[in-house]
Amino acid sequence: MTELVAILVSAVVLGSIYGLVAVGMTLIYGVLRVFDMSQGSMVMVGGFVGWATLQSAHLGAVPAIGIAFAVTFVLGVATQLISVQPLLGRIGFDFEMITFITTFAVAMVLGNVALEVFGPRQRNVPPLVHGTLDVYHGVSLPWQSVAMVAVSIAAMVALWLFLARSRYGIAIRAVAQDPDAARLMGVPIRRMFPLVMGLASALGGVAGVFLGAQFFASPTAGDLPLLMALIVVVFGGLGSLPGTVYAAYAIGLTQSAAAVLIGTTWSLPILYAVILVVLVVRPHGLAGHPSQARL
Amino acid sequence: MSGPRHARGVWPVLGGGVVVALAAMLPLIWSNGYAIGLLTTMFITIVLAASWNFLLGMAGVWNFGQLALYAAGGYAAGALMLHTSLPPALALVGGGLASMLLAVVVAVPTLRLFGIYTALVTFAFAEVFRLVIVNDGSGLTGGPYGLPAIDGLFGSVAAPSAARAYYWTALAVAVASVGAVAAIVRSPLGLALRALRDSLPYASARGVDPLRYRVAAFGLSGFLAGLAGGLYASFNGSIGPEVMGLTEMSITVTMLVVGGLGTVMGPVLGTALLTAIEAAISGHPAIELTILGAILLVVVTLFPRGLAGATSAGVDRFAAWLREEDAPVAENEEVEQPQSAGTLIR
Amino acid sequence: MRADCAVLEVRGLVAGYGQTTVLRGVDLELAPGESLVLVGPNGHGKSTLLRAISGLVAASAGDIRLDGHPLGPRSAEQRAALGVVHIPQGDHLFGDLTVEENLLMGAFPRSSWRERRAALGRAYELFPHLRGRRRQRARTLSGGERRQVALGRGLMREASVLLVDEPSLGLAPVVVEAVYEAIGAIARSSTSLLLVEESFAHIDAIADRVCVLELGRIVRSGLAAELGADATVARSYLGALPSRDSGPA
Repeated sequence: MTELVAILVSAVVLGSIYGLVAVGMTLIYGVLRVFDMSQGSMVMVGGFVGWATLQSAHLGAVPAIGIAFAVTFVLGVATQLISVQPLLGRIGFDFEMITFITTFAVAMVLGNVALEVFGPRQRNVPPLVHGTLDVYHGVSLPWQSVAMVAVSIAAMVALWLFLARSRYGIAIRAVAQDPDAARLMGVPIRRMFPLVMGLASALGGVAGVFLGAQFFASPTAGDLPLLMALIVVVFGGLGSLPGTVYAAYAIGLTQSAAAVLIGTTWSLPILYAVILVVLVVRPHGLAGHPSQARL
Repeated sequence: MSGPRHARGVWPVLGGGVVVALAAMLPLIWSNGYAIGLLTTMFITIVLAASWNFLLGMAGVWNFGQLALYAAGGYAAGALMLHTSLPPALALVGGGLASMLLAVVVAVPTLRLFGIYTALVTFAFAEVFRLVIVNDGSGLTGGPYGLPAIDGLFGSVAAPSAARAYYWTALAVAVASVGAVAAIVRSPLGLALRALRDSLPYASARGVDPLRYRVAAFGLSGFLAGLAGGLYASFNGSIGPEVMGLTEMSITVTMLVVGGLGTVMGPVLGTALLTAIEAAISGHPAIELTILGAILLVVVTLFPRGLAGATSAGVDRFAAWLREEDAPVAENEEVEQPQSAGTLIR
Repeated sequence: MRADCAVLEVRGLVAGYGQTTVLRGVDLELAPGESLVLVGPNGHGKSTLLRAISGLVAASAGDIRLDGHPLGPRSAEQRAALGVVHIPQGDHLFGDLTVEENLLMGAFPRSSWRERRAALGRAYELFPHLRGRRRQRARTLSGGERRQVALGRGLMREASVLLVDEPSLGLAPVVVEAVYEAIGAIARSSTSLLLVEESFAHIDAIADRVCVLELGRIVRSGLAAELGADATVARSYLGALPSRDSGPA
């Protein structure tokens, strides 16, 4: 029973943070048809912002999150303007492949710059919230993780409300469906694209603050989150936000089950194996359309 | 990547021949060992880049596991040279064949997928391959340290002559590879691959079997990559898993895009540019990735089809101006229609 | 007709796609409140003309003026904000959005919540069938329902000029009747309407004037009755001589 609780708790924690990073990527894919490979860099930057504000400037958790949000929002807008916007509307090349590579180039540059500025050493980030919560006999959870889950879920709910209820949220969903039709309704799509990418990147930045506090801040801190987010996005069905959320928790569950039952060293390879099998059997993921994946 | 519409005839081939001849004469007039070695590595990388571009750019397959095929060829050729008495040239071919086999194996799970799905599968496969080798304690692959002391093609020859021998061999293989790719591109196979890339439903409705052609593309690409790997192992004297790192992949893919995905000369231009940059900043390796990333972003923004795509469009415009015709389609518009594939296949 | 009375004025418009020129110098005028129907063979540029007016296709030469102001440099989004409403061929609904969300998108430039709700109410009056389907995803609707949503969406705003592209396309005859009832109401109102259509059976009921677009140019223009009676026009573009009771569909 203890094991079951441990698995569930860990699954919720992992799933929430994967969800936070991945919904950003799904949003970007849905609206811009871009696989944003710089999302991992946003997580990394968030980690460093957390370190800088908490460790050096001794500001509290809320300012740390707020500043990380703002910084990665701006970075996301800049990334879009540099690596995607110039390619819009042009033909003669594979847009999805080229933007995959250009956003990856941005990630490359950001990682390299971070390495130069901060050095390869991992930086310890003080926890945002102190103390531990005892959930069950032998299963305890740092309050920090609880905060992470709470903020992640709150952010995902807020995003959902925005997209479902607000005028601009509905417009964003409309653009994802049919950009030309949206233009005919007066939606300023060229201004919207950078803002969407900024928002998605900011979600990654907030996740980065928590991950940095949970583990550490380093120039390569975003590599694994990027891979996991990409897997979650593909697994959940490209462009589907509900699918992404389900996939995030499903993958969180798989990983934590493997970690608790078999051991942490094997959890990642087992996860890769599961992913590979799923990709071959049902590549369009949980909520995608078969035509998206199959030849 | 010029179709019949842009046949520029004999001039590019002549020009290329002149460049190759000049390159071949270089070691005879310039005895800078460092430069010879640098250029040799460049030629080997051109073969790798050409093989990768074949899948990524021409067939449109999101292949991000090419370096595993490259390394496999190196390991296979190296092992053959170390443990058998096979002539070194045949060992190289053996390396190519081993990679070709591996490539076909990788191709199978990706057969029904495209896009990002293929990217994940090929990347996962390459990572697994790399991790297996790194964690190999059996001594077969040498684990993280790789296979050392490979005599290579010219093991018994004295150093300066060996260096030149490697130079000419690598140059020859690079020219042959680029030429082979150019020939394939104009062949029915090449047209079929491009038709599948640009307009899959149309091409398969016209009878082009996507599965067979994808396996063929993987096989050819794998063979060339394995050949490059074997050459690398020979020239370098060793091969290790470090050639498969994420950094290596980033650098090579960046240069493919800057050179021009899907063009014949793209890999050559991209690799040449990369070599020049690496030589220029050899004192400050730390900022290499930043420079490469910045160059990629600038070049792609201006010319999404890379330097080769831009120059071919520019040359077309110039040639048309010479002939006093209307200029052909502007750089960023659709240059080819895939309709020709249907008439050539079956 | 005096030029400064026209709500929409097109002069010498040249436009196309890439290397292909479709419109080769189109001249057109639409007076305020007028209903103008554009006919002509398929592929000769009728849809392209509407797209050039709404801004989805860039013009390489010529002039488009809305209420005397040149539209030239303005993007499609800006023209929409100025009151150019284009209901394109084939609906282009937002498939995953509900009927109501689709309709609300039509009112996007209207900033007040109250105005948007009022427009929604009017849309449901015009197409009562949609009220019961308001929370249904647009991609699950039937052809006729989708057409109603497309039309309703276009009517959510005050249009300076309303461009409608083949509203009867792909619909069963019974549904076409319903659609044209709504269009008839629009035509009779003070909206300036430019309609592209194939089916002559409904044209003479709603059109003040008819223009014929052939090979990228306007070749004939006149009252519906005149053109309807003209044998060459009828045979070339509409299949046969129309009569009041049995027009070719």
